[in-house]
Amino acid sequence: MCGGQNLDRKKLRVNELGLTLIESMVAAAVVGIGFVAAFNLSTVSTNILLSSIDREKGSMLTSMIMEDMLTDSSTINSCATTCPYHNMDFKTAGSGSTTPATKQTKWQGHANKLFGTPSVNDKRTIKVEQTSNTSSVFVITIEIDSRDGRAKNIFRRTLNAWAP
Amino acid sequence: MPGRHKNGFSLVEMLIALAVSAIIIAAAFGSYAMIARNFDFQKDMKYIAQSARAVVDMINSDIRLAGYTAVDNGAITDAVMLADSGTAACCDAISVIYDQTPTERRQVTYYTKQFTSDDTRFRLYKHICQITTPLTIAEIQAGQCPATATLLAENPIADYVEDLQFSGFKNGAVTSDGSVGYGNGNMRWITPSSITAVCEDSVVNVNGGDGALTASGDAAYAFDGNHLTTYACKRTNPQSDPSVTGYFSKSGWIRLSFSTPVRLTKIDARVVPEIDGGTGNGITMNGWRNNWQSFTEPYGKYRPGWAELGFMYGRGGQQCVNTCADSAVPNNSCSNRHWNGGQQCLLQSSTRYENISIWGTTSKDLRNETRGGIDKQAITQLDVFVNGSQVCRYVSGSCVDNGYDDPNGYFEIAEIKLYGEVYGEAQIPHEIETSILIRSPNEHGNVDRSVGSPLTLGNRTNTWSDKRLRDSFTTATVVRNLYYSSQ
Repeated sequence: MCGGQNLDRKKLRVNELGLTLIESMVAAAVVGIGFVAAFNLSTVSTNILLSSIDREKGSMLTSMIMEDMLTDSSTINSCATTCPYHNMDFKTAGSGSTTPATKQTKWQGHANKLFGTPSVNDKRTIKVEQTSNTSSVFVITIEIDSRDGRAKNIFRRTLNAWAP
Repeated sequence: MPGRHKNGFSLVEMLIALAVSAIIIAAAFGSYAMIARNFDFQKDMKYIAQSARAVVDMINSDIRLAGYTAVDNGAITDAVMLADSGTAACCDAISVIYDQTPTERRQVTYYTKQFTSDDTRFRLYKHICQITTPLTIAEIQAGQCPATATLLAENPIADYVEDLQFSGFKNGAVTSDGSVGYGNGNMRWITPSSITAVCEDSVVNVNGGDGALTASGDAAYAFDGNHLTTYACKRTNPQSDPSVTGYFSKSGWIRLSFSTPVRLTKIDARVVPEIDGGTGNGITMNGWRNNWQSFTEPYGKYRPGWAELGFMYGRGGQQCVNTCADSAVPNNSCSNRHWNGGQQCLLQSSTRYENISIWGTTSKDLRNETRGGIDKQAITQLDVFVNGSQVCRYVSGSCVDNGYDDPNGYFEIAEIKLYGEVYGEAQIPHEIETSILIRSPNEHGNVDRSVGSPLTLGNRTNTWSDKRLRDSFTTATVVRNLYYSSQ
């Protein structure tokens, strides 16, 4: 009979289908991580969307800057030697009443309106580079950052500085 | 054998299982709710951005076409029109005109209409008319296309527009209302509002010429755009202004008046020595001055091939306003460019003039002149003196003297065209800045969202405090056809 009782206990142990405490904790942790991941996924996708909209706004602001430069092609033409637009930082307003300074003030105002007051790490700069020594075609690179430099948007376009 | 198959859950196990399940379901539900909220937020933000981009792209593409004129079609005078809604109401409107085809001139207008009873919900419409004469924006907003035009389309292109602002720019500054001042007006060809002359002699065939001239005499013929009608004044007819002495004392003269002040920068003028026949190596300055020996009779025999005009302002109490400040005039100083060194337009005591020698067809850029300073003054009256008028003297079929001054002949001017800056009218912009503020269709969250500091677009300030999402977009486009044609 004793042997039979031992057999029953063994059978009983084999049929114990429940989870141990450790197993259930591991499972709970996995489920928890899943939830956190889902939360993050949603948050990240929202941030990506907002960055994408910032880029859209940056693209529009860049278009405005390029069009403004187009109407000042004589100044761009002089960029082979001295160029008031090159290395312009429109985080600050322009100084003086020259055309480039007036435009800098305008761009600064619009950038602040679209992206808010720039933080320390936000860049808002313009670079003007001549494609070759004799060319009137210039590459304009505009960097507009937001979110304290975390959202970097760099736009590059060419401008043929046609001189009337 | 009761109890042998006791595989069910105990009460405690059930309670624990239920608690764990409840926690998981609650977490799943919370997670779903948050993800759904995020999805709705993203959907509306995306809606706002997509609407703004589509609208701005569409408007910009039309602005770029504004003023495009098909070959042989009449000029477009109102290529871009802006309607300002003021600082209180939504929203500005814009209308652009261009030739879609040689036979279809389009006026495309963007404006907003209030939608439903919600006075904050506006829809943006694109309205296209085929026109023959430009319509005002008010006419278009009042009804479809008036009887003079054909409605091609009117469709809503965006909803929930809270503000739409258009600003015109020219020379880097916001366009002016046309007040007198250097750069504040519109550069274009100028038509005098009245033309009177003290010497007009109607003669079709001057001195015996029998060419294609269709009318002569009336001073207005010199400003009608037709070179086959001319202003003529017989040289022996005494001029009636004894106050004029010196070079122009024996001239016939025309008084031009302008309905609004103008600042002249260019004068084109023409005589017509070719009308009676013959050739003169083309109607050019050199053709008359240097190549006269190769003229074939009767080129310039009856009708002058050379004449001299004097353009005087400041006579007889004419009003004129100095338009320039030194800093406003590129590369020039006003004081250096005025006769007698003065910057003011002196009335009566010291008239100023620009004189122009016309050889065939001549264009005079007044901006390069150093004497008269006429390009710095806003004037409403201008006297045009005609002096000197030379024909060619032919001997045996050859022109032997192109400086022959026939005492019985006529001063004769075929055309005079004036170009410059016109004041007293809204300035036509070269660049249009477009700003749009759109809100979400739905509310989000339980807390009102308010703008940190009032958002100013164009000349309108926007504030809000509700649960809707909002975003604004701004860009600008050069009106190519207007900008390049003005250079």
